[in-house]
Amino acid sequence: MSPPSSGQKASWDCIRRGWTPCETCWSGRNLLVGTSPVRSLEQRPIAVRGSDPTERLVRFLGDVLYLYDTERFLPDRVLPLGVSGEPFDPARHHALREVKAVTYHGAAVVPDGDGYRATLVFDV
Amino acid sequence: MNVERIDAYRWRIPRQGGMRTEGLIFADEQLMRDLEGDQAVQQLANVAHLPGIVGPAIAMPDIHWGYGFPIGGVAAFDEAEGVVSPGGVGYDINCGVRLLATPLTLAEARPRLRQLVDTLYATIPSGVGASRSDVRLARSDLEQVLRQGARWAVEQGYGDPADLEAIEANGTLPDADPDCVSDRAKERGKSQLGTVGSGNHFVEVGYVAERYDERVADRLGLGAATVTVFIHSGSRGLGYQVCDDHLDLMLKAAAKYGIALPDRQLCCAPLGSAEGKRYWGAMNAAANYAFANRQLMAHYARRALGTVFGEATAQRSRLVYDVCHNIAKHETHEVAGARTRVCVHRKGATRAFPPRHAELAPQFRDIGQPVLIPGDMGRYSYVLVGTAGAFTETFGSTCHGAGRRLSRHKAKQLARPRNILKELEAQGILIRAATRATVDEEMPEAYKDVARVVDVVDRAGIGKKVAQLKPVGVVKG
Repeated sequence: MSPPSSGQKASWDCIRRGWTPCETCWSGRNLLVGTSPVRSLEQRPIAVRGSDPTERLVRFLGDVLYLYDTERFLPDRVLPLGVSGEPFDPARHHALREVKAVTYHGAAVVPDGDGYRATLVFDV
Repeated sequence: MNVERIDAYRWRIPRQGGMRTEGLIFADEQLMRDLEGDQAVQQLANVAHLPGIVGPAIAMPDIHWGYGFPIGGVAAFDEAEGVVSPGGVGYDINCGVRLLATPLTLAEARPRLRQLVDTLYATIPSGVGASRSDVRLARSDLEQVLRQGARWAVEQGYGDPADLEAIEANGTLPDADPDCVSDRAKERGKSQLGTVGSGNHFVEVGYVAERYDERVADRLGLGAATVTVFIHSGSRGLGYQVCDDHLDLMLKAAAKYGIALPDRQLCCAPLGSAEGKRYWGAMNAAANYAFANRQLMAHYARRALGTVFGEATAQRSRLVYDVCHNIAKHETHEVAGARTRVCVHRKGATRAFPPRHAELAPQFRDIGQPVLIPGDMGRYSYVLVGTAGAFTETFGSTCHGAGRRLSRHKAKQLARPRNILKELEAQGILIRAATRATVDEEMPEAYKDVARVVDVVDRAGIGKKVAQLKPVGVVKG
């Protein structure tokens, strides 16, 4: 994926900010493995898709879930080209539940101060 | 939301705002009180906004908040003018239940019950990321699973040909098109066939505790104290991905066809559109995957019975029935006095066709379609049959389960200071689960009392009680 164009920047920022400071995507990861620590040992590419910030965030997180379901890859941080993280390790990670999907039900990403506030519902 | 009482078990949501039809809720006063503060009623009203809906948007007594459509919802759409919506089927396409009746009585099984539950836990993978190392599907195998469903499984030796007669649609939906299923979905599905998954899915050993209709119970092989195996699962990651993929397409389609959506999760496309047809082919393929999944699970449940009680017990364990409760189907119903082809969405609702319906297998033609209603893991489940009342009022549909009363978060909070496993074991119910979290989230108090749900269904005439099953061992994901 090339660096986000100016038209995509707002949504990209929302994805990036939503993930790194223990917010939206941390919530998603917490659903999977709770507070088990995850290290940035490997990277996986994820393309930004979707026609608005909400759709892009839902799809991005859907891709993260896909990585977990097919490769047992746990995310740590969002990178410009995808995510970094590590494979699930039963010795260090505690699998809590299956997350079927990130839904569009009531999904919203809105500016909030110098960041964004995301409301998402996960189907578990 | 304005809701009017019709009688003891029916409530109407009059047309308001952009609703194209009214809503109809089956519930008693207590169940309606349980819905206060729940978004499910508003969600039902939202469904009534969709184009081409015929008859009311209907809610079963186990209605609760879902994503877009409420869970426990039924909506029928005109084939010419209506839509198909992935949100009206749900992520777990053809999530459903299957019931086996063993030749054992509870007294005969009790001494080796712990061994049976342990063997089931070891034989049928459950929990997060459950996969089978012994069932790895090549690409060509997966295509056949998606086309043939349970029939593929039986042809591979997973079960008996007679099983197919006891599965809704004989375990194969003919409109399946594997080409409409994405590579991502196929990747998620290739190693999960024959696995339970997690959440509210389970394999449960129980027994027939009460019989309300002895003639029908006998016909279904549900003698007093008969030991049963109840299986609840669906299309696993493959189905979730099919839904996800098509939600993205349907969001675009809804805009393209000018369909106003009160909630994005209700996105949909006309049934006759390219997008609608594509989802239809993929949804039916995922549904076939779910039929095959439950067929394999039943096969391995029989293997476990054989290991613990001997091969004769495995061979004499009959499939009572297998039903979908997350599906859309083309059916013929009477609408405004005319026989009309409609697409019925059942999300958390079970088809309940009456006696003599042409789509029933010959063995059920005189009793009606069997309906399997799981409760929670501490109380009971039910077997019902379909009725003429359901066919008239609810497009041949009835409830699908107890319905959640507490969110998973609230259930965990309630369970934290307790030991649910020990509490259930003290009641004579053995639990095997991958994690404590699942057990806590699925604690009995998290669900409505399914007896109340089933009583409403029975008294309203949209289902007829046959038997009650009580659990003695549960494998949870």
